[in-house]
Amino acid sequence: MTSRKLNNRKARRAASRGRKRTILASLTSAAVALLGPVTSSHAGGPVEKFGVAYAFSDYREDNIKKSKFSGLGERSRYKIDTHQFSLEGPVLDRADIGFDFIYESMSGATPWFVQPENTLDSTSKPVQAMSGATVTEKRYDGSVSGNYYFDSARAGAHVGVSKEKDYLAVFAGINGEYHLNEKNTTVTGGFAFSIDEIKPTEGGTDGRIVKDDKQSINLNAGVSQILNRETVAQLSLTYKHSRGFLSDPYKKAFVLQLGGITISDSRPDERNQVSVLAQLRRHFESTSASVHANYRFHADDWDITSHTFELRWVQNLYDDLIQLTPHFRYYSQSQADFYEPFYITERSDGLASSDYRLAPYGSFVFGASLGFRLERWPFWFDWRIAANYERHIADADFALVNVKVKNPGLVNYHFTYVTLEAKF
Amino acid sequence: MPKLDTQLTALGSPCEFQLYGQSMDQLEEVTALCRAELSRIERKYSRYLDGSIVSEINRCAGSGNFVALDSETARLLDYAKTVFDQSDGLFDITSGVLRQAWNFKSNQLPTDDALRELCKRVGWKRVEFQGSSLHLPVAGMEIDFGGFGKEYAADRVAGLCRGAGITAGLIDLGGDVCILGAHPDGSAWQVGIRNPRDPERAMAVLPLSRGALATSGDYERFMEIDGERYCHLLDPRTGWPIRGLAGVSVVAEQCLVAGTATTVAMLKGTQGPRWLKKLGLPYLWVDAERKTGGSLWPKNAPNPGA
Repeated sequence: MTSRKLNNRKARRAASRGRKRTILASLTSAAVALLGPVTSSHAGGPVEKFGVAYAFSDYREDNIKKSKFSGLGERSRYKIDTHQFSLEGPVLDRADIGFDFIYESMSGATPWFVQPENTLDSTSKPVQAMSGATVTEKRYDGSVSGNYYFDSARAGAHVGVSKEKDYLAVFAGINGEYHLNEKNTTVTGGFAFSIDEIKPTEGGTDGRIVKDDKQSINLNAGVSQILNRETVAQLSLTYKHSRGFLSDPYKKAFVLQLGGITISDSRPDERNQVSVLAQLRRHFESTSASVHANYRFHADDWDITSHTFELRWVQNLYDDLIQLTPHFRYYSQSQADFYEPFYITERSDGLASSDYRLAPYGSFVFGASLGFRLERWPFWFDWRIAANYERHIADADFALVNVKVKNPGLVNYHFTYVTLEAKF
Repeated sequence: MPKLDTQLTALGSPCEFQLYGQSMDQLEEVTALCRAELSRIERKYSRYLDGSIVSEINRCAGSGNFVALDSETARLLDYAKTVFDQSDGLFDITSGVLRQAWNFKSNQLPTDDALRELCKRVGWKRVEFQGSSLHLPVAGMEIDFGGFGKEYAADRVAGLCRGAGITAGLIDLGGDVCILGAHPDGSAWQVGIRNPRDPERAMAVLPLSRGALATSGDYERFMEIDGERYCHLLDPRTGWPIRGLAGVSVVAEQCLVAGTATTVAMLKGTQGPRWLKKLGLPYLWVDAERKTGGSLWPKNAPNPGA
């Protein structure tokens, strides 16, 4: 009896302490939840405030290990710095528009080809030959997107261009969503295409193409269903068709015959990919947190299948002013049918690639992000600042499939980014 | 600038829209939308209408049958839960059954037994949820949204007007007021607050250009026995009318928040003024002794009791 009373008193005291801080905040956020947010989400209506955002990211690959390195080229791998500026705001009555500009600078060596350590012995350990350190390359990317909102639907479109010294891509797409069943169900769909032109540096030398192009189209459809007040499930399907020059002009493949020659990376000129993504989000009101669980299955006609499992815990703290999000991802893929770390003899179909991205492997990502939100201060703007870090490690041993020969070019990287957003 | 004034009765109260717009056509269209929204809310949430979801929930009380909730109703119940938590259980949407013991026209007090019996059918914590379905565990238990339905409707109607581009106007649903924006000449709306002891007269007039104002008082339904006033606001724990305050007004961004704050303050009785001060919204109160207080009182205002 006594202890129960004591606990009750403790609980009341704790409740009253919490209340001091949050009584108005609780009522207001409950009212906003009921009446719809003051700044509505993208799905519900156009953005109501003008927003500017800047993001900086640093992608840094680990140097290739000495034991996996052939000695040819540079051991320091790729590093990409990205600066992204975006601008969004409402236009007219039921529409919004956004502009994105990306500037990237890339430097470092990339995998060139894989060879057996002893070029006369096909059973010896494969090692990676790297390119020489490249000068810093730059990429510029600009795009415009817009949405129009109907009472229970949204229609969107985007168009953009991406330019590097050796590369030009033009892309565009349309997408839409339709809410039904009192907005408990949302159906989405989209179509996008990209036309890319590649003019590799030093084209025409060493079997490298002078100029080529590729095109791709992307179709997706999905449905998201609110299962109950805490749970949303989503299922989406994507189909991508690419054709044209799908090889990597800067990579080669090693063939053991005649004491070892290298031939150009050469892939089929068509690829069809499908993927299925299942997502589940559950909110825990008592702990002010939610968990996002995703699974993606991917398959293509190059014979690659892959599985991705992702788990994200979103923890809101201090009246949602701070958000801490640890996340974890596991990925496993099987190899492309024409892939080999290196070739004994050339394939009769002429295909060849030792790109680690077509190799069988698995990877883990561990990461976390920390975000802060400031409302109407300073300068009456709403601010958000967030920092994210993740570590990616890949290894053939992590794969769900059995791997006979490990690709030495598999990449480990650190990825860090910070964003600063202001809305007014 | 064209202006359209509309008077109507909705949700059991006299209501008024005063809207400025680009054209009379636009204003008539918006007004029709607002009327439709009010009758939609009434049809869906009135406890007096058989077809409403509230009636369906109440009919299923004690039957073991869960009633599936659409998302709007689920969100209303979420709101009710939040207010219950934030008011230490004083604001309870299951407390409506207590009214059965109180006939304010009879000038008779209910018996303790009658109140005790009714209290057994009150208690938000006992409401059972299964996913997004709900069941009231005791036959005769009831919920109703009378505590904030009108304020919700005011915010919904104001939202419709804003969505239709109305930036100057006033929505008044039986004293729950949403301001859509100042008059086109920039002047504020002068909104009167009833004197709880003389409801036909204003005890204060507030200039408002935005936000919402809600008022709650002991004058809406009451009886006096031996000089003691018994009003319609009942303490869910005892079944007896609350005492202490005669009227409370609060200004907030949403009418829902303003209305909830006035009701909770009234239920808090003599603790109401302290609770309002802590809440931090502009407010005013009048107590049973006709004392007044709160941040909204204009300086040098006459004492309404004087």
